[in-house]
Amino acid sequence: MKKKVISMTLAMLMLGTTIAGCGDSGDSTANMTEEEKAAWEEAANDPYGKYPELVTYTTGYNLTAQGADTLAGTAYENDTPSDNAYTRYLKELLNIQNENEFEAQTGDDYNQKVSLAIASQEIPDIMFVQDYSTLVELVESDLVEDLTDVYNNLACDTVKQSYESYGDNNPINTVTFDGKIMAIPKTQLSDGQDFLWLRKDWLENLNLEEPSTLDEMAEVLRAFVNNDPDGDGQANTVGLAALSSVYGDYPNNTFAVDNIFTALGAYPNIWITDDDGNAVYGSIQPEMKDALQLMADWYAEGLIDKEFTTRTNDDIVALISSGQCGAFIGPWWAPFNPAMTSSYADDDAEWINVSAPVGSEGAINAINTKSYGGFVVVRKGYEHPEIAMKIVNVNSEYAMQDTTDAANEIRENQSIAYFNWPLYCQVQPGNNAEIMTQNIEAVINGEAEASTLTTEEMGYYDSIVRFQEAEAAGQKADSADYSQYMSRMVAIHKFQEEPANFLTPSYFETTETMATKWASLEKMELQTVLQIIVGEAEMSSFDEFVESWTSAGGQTITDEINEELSSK
Amino acid sequence: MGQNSKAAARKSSGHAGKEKMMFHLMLLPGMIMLAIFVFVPLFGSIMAFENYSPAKGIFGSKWVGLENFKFIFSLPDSRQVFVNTLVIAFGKLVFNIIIPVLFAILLNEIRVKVFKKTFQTVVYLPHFLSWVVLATVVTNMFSLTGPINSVISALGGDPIQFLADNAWFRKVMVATDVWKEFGYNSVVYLAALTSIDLGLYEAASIDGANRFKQILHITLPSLLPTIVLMTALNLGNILNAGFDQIFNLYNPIVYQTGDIIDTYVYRIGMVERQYSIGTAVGLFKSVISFILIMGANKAAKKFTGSGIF
Repeated sequence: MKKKVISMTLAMLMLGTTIAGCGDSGDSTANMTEEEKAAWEEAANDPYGKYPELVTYTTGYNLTAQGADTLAGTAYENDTPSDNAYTRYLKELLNIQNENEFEAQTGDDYNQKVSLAIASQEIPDIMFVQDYSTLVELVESDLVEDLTDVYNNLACDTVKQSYESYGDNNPINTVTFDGKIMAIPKTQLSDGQDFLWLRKDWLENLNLEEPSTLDEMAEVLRAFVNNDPDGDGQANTVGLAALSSVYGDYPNNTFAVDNIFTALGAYPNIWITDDDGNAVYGSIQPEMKDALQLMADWYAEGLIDKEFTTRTNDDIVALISSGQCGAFIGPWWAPFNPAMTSSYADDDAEWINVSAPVGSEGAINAINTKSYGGFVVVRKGYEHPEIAMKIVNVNSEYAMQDTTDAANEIRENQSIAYFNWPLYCQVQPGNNAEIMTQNIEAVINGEAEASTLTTEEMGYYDSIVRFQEAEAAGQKADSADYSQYMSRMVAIHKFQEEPANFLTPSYFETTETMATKWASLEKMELQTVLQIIVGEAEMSSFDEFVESWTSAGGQTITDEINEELSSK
Repeated sequence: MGQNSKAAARKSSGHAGKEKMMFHLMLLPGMIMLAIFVFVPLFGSIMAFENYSPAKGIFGSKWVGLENFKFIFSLPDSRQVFVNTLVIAFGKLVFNIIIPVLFAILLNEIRVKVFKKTFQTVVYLPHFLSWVVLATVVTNMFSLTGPINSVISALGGDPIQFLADNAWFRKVMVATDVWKEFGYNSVVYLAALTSIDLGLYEAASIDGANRFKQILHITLPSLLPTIVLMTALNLGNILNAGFDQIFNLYNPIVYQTGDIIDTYVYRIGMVERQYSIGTAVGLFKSVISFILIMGANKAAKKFTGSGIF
């Protein structure tokens, strides 16, 4: 209650200042000469137009999970979320400056700040929102500006072409409400399939082959637990690390173990299409039983971390960085996870990504993601809505091709990976990560000139070259360079070499009943799944769960989804 | 002389009035804060009867009457959550009285002043640490490789995952909460102990009562009014099982015994942004607490002759 009042009061104060601000600018337009007016007009209608005077916009700032420590000792030590390589670049290019109403780590932290901003009815001028349901809420509440004209007049070619590369899944369709484009969608790159990440040095210590099937994977885990892989003479290693939420948000949920379920034909936590073409919920299908039985057996044998139910994400990271765990499931970019960087830096760990466990067709069964990964919205009534589009243009196209010193700062910051662009929204074709790797490899192999690389690729290229030089000199490379090398040069190759079977969920969004009942259905599901895995409940409780899930709102939601799908 | 004393009395009462005026003025800033941060937000409770939408605001949102309350009680787990809350809160209520009273009595028996003061300060400390910090300590203490399980293993028992075991979770919650607060809670009883007439003990020892008998027949009865008072005050918290603590220590596997009203509302209200439902639960809790406090106050007045207000 108290917090609400404080935020309300603050919101009122902000409202006051905004009104005052509008008043001022109104006056200034009135006092402008024709030339000045024309200059403002021109800037507003050019994809990269620079404003005659500094324009300040308020926003919410996304920070990466890396932590500010990564800045220490670099030239950017004193950078802040309102004064860093990215914001300085935008200021120089467009004469705009961000003022952050909040700053938070990407993900739940950031989303919570957005929720609070919406609850207080005072959203920043321009902001990034993660969830589709949040976008719908904003549109329905009439809090955001129509961006149709802005998009049509100002979006650069790269942005337009990237959207079109998604074909039927064009993200622009998602943000179109009644024919109006209400947001600029961030494209969700296809992050491919998740892999099993294993300590390569442990595999070598124990003379183990890289696993492929579930049985082979169990064999490796068994050895990791029982055969003292780190050779310190103590039984201090655990099996596979796992999230306490077990699965979900494929593939970008490091430590989630979806792959084990999909290998057995179970697709939990997503809506899949059944044989009759109807959408059904994956977690209540009979295949779940096989997967849960396997999980329960593995847990009982200790192949899965015995304490996974009580560990937070940070706890898992600590477990892996301290060399007590050498196996987890994660995406191609898992080397950026602090678990891997610090185990490389402190424990001399070497990692490898393996295509395991495979399904009945000999490949990993993976789940496709949606084509959008968030949205940029503009506060209704903001006088410079075009700034949002311009920033997206800059970070999707202009900065990529800029080779000046200013862009160099950005390149360096990309490998430090603490700050993001003020609007966390880049628009790229779906397989952009693979394209970048191909371009970088072409330069490394001498098939192309370094000048052909975009600034982003250049940053990665520098990092990879540094890693290779350190390796060649027999020195230990910087852990940030190691991450770039492992993910972009090693892991990503398996997309082509060992392709996965992809299943596309039939539905991604939230229905009306889901908004009120999902928390309790989710609780029911997690509780049953966890209790079966740790052996606290019999497999028969799964049938009870399916029954109560269906009657407690699950059937209503399924009907809503099928209705929505058939009406499309 | 009568005249004089009357005048003196009048004078002194006038003086006292002025002094009281000063006290009231000093209270004013606090009262204003209270009005802004407690009384005004009370109007927000209207949201509990609306289908609140942030954009439409409190006055523009649709009025739905008791729909939100009906919805809460129709949820499949509302009963479970309610029971969990009551059990955990009741456990905390009882042990947060028994342990501090025992501790205060024991501490009072210590003769060496330095030792007594040091001990009191040490047990006082955890009260000042937040649960976010203590959760890490507790998780490590109760983990499979933690000290408690080491002791169990050394004694030949099987290690227990206390925080992932429905048979243990509530007990651990109550125990750790009591551990955190008993030092602080015992202060009030220590103060009450100092006001007991030492003559009583002297008389009792002359009559041949030993230390134990003295505690039983003098100390405890003298503490009773304070105990009743504290119980009555704490009854209002019977629906507050401790969000900070449980939110930082629970996990889905112990939802069955550990999910309380506050954590549940947090998940549906804050994470899924159902403001009206969150408010409805909050209002429901406040009304129950209010009734309990009023009832306890009445009962305290009846049994001990002194209430809180």
